[in-house]
Amino acid sequence: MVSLTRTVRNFWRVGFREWWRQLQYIGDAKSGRLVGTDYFGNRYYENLNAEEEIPGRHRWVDFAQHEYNATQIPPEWHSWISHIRKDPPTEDGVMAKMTPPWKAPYYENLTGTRGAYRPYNTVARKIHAWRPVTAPRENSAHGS
Amino acid sequence: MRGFLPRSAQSARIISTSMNANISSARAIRIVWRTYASTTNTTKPAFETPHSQTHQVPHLPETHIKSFGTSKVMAGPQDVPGAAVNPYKDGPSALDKAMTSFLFTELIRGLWIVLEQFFRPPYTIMYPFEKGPLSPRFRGEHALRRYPNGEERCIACKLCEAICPAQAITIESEARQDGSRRTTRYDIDMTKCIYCGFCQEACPVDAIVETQNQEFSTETREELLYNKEKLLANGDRAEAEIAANLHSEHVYR
Amino acid sequence: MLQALYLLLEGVTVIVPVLLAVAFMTIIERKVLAATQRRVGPNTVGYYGILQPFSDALKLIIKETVIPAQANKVLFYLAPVLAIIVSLLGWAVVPFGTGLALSDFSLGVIYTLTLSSFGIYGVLFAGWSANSKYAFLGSLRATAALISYELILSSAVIIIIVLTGSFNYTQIIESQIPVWFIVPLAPIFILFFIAILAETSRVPFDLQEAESELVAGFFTEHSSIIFVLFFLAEYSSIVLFSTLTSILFLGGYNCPMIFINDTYLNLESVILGLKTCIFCFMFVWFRSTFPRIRTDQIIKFCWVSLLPMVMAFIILVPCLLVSFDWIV
Repeated sequence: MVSLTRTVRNFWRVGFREWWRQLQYIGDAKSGRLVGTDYFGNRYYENLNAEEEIPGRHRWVDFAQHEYNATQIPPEWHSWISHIRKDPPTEDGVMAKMTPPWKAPYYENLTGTRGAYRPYNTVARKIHAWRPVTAPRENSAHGS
Repeated sequence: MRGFLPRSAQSARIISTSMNANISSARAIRIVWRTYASTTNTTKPAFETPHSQTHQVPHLPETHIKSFGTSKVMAGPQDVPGAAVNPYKDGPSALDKAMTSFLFTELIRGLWIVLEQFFRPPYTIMYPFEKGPLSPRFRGEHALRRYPNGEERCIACKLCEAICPAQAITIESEARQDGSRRTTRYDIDMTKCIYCGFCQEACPVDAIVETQNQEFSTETREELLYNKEKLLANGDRAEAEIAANLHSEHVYR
Repeated sequence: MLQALYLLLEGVTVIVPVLLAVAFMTIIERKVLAATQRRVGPNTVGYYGILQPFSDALKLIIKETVIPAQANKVLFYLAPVLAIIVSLLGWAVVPFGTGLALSDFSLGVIYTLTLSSFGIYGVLFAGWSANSKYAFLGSLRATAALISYELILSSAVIIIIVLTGSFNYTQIIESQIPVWFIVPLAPIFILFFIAILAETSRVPFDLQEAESELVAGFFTEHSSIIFVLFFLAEYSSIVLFSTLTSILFLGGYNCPMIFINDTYLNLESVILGLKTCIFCFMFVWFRSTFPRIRTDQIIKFCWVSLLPMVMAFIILVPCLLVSFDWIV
């Protein structure tokens, strides 16, 4: 990371703008092939040259949001960036075939926001608390 | 040195001198062993193999024998039991030892190794941007799956509830209006779950699975008490990934 | 009045860059340690983590100050103040360039040695006043080690004084124009460097804050801002001793004749800084390489191994000077 030659080389390749952006987020100058973009606008890069990137650092993401978060990566790309699948979802035939029509839109981990999940009961209540309802009095007492 | 010290102190001295002279540890052990054997009159070490029974010393691989300058260290002749052993017999010469300690050769070697590492790239993975490798069998957050036509898979057989070693799963079921049995409650207490994967092993219809998502940390404990809707939503979002991973593993199942 | 203000300004112009250097010494240490272990080190505060020391300082300052109930409060507060004052006072006689010193004191070397002896009091007071076993043991060990290695340090410096015939740093630097003292006095340089490693209580001689045995050594009980003072004092003395090493052995702000500065830029301070950086790096490099040695080993190493050697050199060097008629 602190290698000067690496920084200069990658700066030379990606240009000032991209390098500055990388410095704001990943904090390191990296250059590689743009593999794809997901529907949130996160861009995914890859550099398979083992001389330039240590294995394990060869796939990376450039988040679209400023408040970036690891869970902003949708599951298909999560598979790719976690090195579970070799091909990115754009080229992965299996992944494309397995995608069902009812697939729900992805959202990030919303904990700490108003959209956070709150558990609730999914069954009808079986035990009902005793409700103190007094029976109406009969008028017999008045009669006798 | 003979006669000055009792035997135990003598062997302790031998250890310290051999440390100072950077004799390899295997060699130091051998010297100590020989002294020990000579003091206790042991004729046969307990761990001796038939191959080396003729030698008094335990057999050591040839690579452990180290040469210091010109004096090649060889396996010495058999020592007389009971007689004192000259600890410097096979060791490096006094000049070698003086050079080693006064010229800091060991320290400089260590410094050089550290400096080599200093100029090599770090192995750090910059986490949210780069991620470490996961297995397709990785056991992360749970999800309930559906059939490709959108029908939920879970048939409320409660095998997962039975096998769950942490008793994290709670299931209640009812017959649906079309007569099929479905769960009404499928709660997983993720704070109890130990992510052993028994539930997905037990499931006959591949309904409950552990996805490869490990980034479901929450700010409150409450948010980790998953119910059926949450689990189905997890499945609906990650179905492509789950199905692809199961497909890649299907030959082994 | 104006004179006093002027003097104050002079002091500030030295102390502020020194404190900055000390702050960056902490990030250098963390980064170099990380690199030798093939990690990245702090990298989020500022670009490449360069603002980390300020973040650390802010964190330490806003922490709560906890003082043990049984502590001797006067000494407890006095100790870190003494430590920082003493280590900052050492910069008064350091020449940063030709004539660029707060005081071109004729007894500069003696002054520095005196101050480094005074530094022990900070450790001693801190350990005694905290009323804690760890702090007390740490300060005892530190005092023993510091007093022992003071001898080696002074003796090594005495050889240089004998060679140059002066206690003044500027004259020592100027007498190194033909050849840096590290060339003829290489063995003495090694002894000197070992001594300053022990004086600044750095690895492998960091007994006073042996993390595994004594929680944090003599400043176990010190927290927040008073801990910052100790921290600054420690790193300030590292930078100070690195500077002194480059002055005494690497020719200070001078550089060899192969490099001729034709411009109007005055690069003398930059050269001194670069030489200092070499030694600062060596401090961290040694820390990442060597394990800590035991208390008895550290004392024994000083009195049995180093002291006879340095005494031998004290006799040898004047003998050479006399026999070849080299006395200045």
